[in-house]
Amino acid sequence: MSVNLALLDTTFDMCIKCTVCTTKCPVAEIQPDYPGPKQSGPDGERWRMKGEDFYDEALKYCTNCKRCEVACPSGVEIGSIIQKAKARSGRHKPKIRDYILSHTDLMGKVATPVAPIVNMVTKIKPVRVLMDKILDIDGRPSLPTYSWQTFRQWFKKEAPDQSVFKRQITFYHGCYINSNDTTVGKDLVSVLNAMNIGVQLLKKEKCCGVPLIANGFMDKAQSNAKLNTEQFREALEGDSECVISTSSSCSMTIRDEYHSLLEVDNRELVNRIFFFNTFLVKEFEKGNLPDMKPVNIKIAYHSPCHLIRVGGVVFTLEILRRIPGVELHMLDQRCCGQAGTYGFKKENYDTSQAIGAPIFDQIDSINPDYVVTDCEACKMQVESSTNYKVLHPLSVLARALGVSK
Amino acid sequence: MKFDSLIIGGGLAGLVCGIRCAQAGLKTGIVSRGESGLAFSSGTIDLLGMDQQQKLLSDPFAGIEKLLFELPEHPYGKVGLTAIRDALSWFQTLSCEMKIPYTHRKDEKNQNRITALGALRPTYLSPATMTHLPIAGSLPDLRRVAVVNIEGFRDFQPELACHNLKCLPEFTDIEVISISLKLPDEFISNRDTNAMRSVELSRQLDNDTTISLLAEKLKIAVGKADLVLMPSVLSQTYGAERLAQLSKLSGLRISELATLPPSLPGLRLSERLQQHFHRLGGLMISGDKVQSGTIEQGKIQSILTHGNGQMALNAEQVVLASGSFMSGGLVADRHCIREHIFNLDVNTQSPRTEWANQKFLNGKAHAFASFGVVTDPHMRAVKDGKTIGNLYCIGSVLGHAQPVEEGSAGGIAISTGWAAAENIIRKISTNKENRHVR
Repeated sequence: MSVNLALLDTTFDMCIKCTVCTTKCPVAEIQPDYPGPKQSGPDGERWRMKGEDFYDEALKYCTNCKRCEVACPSGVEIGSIIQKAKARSGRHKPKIRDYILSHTDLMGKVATPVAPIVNMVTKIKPVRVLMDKILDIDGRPSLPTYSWQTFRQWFKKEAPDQSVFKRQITFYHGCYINSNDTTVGKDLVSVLNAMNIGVQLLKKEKCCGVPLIANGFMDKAQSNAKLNTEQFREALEGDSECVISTSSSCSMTIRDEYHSLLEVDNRELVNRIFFFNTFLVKEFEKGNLPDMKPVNIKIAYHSPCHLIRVGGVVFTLEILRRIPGVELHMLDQRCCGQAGTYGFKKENYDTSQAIGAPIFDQIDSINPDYVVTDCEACKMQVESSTNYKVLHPLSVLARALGVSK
Repeated sequence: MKFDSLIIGGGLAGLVCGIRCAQAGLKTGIVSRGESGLAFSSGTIDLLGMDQQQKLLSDPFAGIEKLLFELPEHPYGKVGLTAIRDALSWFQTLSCEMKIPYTHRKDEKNQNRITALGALRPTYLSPATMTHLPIAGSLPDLRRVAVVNIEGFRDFQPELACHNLKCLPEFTDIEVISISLKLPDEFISNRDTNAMRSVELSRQLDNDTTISLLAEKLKIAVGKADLVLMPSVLSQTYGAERLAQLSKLSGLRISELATLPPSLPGLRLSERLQQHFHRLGGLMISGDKVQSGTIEQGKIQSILTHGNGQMALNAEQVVLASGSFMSGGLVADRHCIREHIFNLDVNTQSPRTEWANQKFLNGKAHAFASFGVVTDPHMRAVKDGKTIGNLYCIGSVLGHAQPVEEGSAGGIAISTGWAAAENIIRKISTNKENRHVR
């Protein structure tokens, strides 16, 4: 294994044993077999230093939502300690199922050319029963559908000419936009064009690594991180002002985990890799604020865990508040339970639903026109578990600008 | 990104200040690095429990009046008695809105809180789940008190609490017994049922079935008692509701005792305050921390956070609520005490040897507990001898108080947080009017 996971790091010792992380853990709240982040992270690490035999298989329950890190008053990276321990000592080896769920870019490549068939097949009950029985992919949640035309194909063939714009940025679209739902990518192009900014794509890109980390494919995550970082560097050395991502989990992974977990040093670049919300707020404040028409919709905003982790929720709210005709309702900041690939797994489905239940109830009681969130996994969970459609904030903005796809 | 008011620190002081600003319609942000000291606290609000001579105070307001005379630089001195009263009554109204009502005794005197070790501590406001015992005199309505634990909860020893209570003069004529209740295994599904923390046990108990069973067991084990004392383990979120339910079903008067961290009464207050701030449209930046700020022309111009090098935060008014040493607002180097974000002036230049007493627990206050930032009479920060016009300091980053020995931390947090918010609201509305006139 090329990732250096040797435990030379004793930052877990900053833990003062207050247990406040465990009070905020959505999994420990529901799943009594999970000992919670304090015991799994800093406490367990002391034991694990003494030998692999002290590794506790219950660590598999961790979703890497990182709420423990947000709660920690002592700056311990509890979630990362747990992820590293899982990769280093977990006896639970990734299954074929985990491979399929986590290799999102590969699956996209395989599925998009035959998207209508894949989408139809994954809706057939007996198929889902088989997937459930053979692969342990739970039969109940709706699986992500694939797009017939990838975002890259659309961009190449149908996107308006981007070279007319003086200012240029590079868009890291990630797997979901490329293979599953291209809407947000198209909306980003429209919105930025309306603000007189052109969009380019990286020559090539790979999955950011977040599902790979969660499923224990650390080597693959690291090689993806290296490739992406090289691509970012190349784009930033060219005529791009910055790189923009529209997925909160990709963003967090690139900003924090490449360096701290995957040991790919991108620190000289991170200040030029933006989540869409910070970029837009900066532009708005500089006066690059295109005319907006009232959208007249009632929305319930859900804060994704990984956006909370990077302190970025307020910037999305700033954008939503500037859109006329938005009636904004804040959902309480609880985890929706999906956690990327976690909620699709048979052994986790019930836990995942129980974690999300209070959010689903709150959405019902607000009865919005749309739920809005920045994360594709949260979107899948809410759409699968409620009767509400979920929009990305960029799509709301695109509507206000009259450029919605 | 621009704010009207930006608060650094999400503890009691910061949240109080943030909520008051948000109530007034200001665009308010709170940058909070992790959960605050509330998670370690009893959940009661101390105002002033002891005077400067370490004598127990029955009337905290009379005590504050005297304190302001003896020690005018105390944080209470910058707020003033009238504003302290206003702040507390505002907080009590807020606590009702948040459905976690805090009350004082009818006579506005201090009340006694019973600790998990069976000691008595003076406090002023407490939630409905606690005893509200008078501070002085006998307890005529108590003849038999039961201290009850649930087996498997590791952070409470009922025998110890019971023994210590019996040693108190207030409890001389009272029978105190200790009981450990065992719940059937099928009701406790934690993987380690012998060593649960408060939060883990609460997740087992927080449902109607288990509470009913607990009530039955309690009735049988306790028999007749005027008061049942239990550690705070019934529910992380709905403590008062579950305690009332248990009291009703068992027919017993039950009070909860704050435990070792995680302390559920403190957490509940913290959670409700955060939730309220969100619902008022407050902007919480958690998961990040403030790294530095630029000061020009006597004002904070912008704030930079650790995780976000891409966008500075700007605010018309900034509030420092970063706490004392424990929360990292103050740091101790080898030779000096520093305020860690802006390097503000602090109230001590004493050498390290004078920071602490030789013995840690000899009952005497340590000097370091009274260290803090220097402020002008309006609680605005001072750097290199000059006032920073738009930076208020609140809560335990302020010096000249002995929060532990005096029993004043909660009162200082609420009154300084509220008072700074009132100043900010006044200033911003005046500025807006002026701009309007022009």
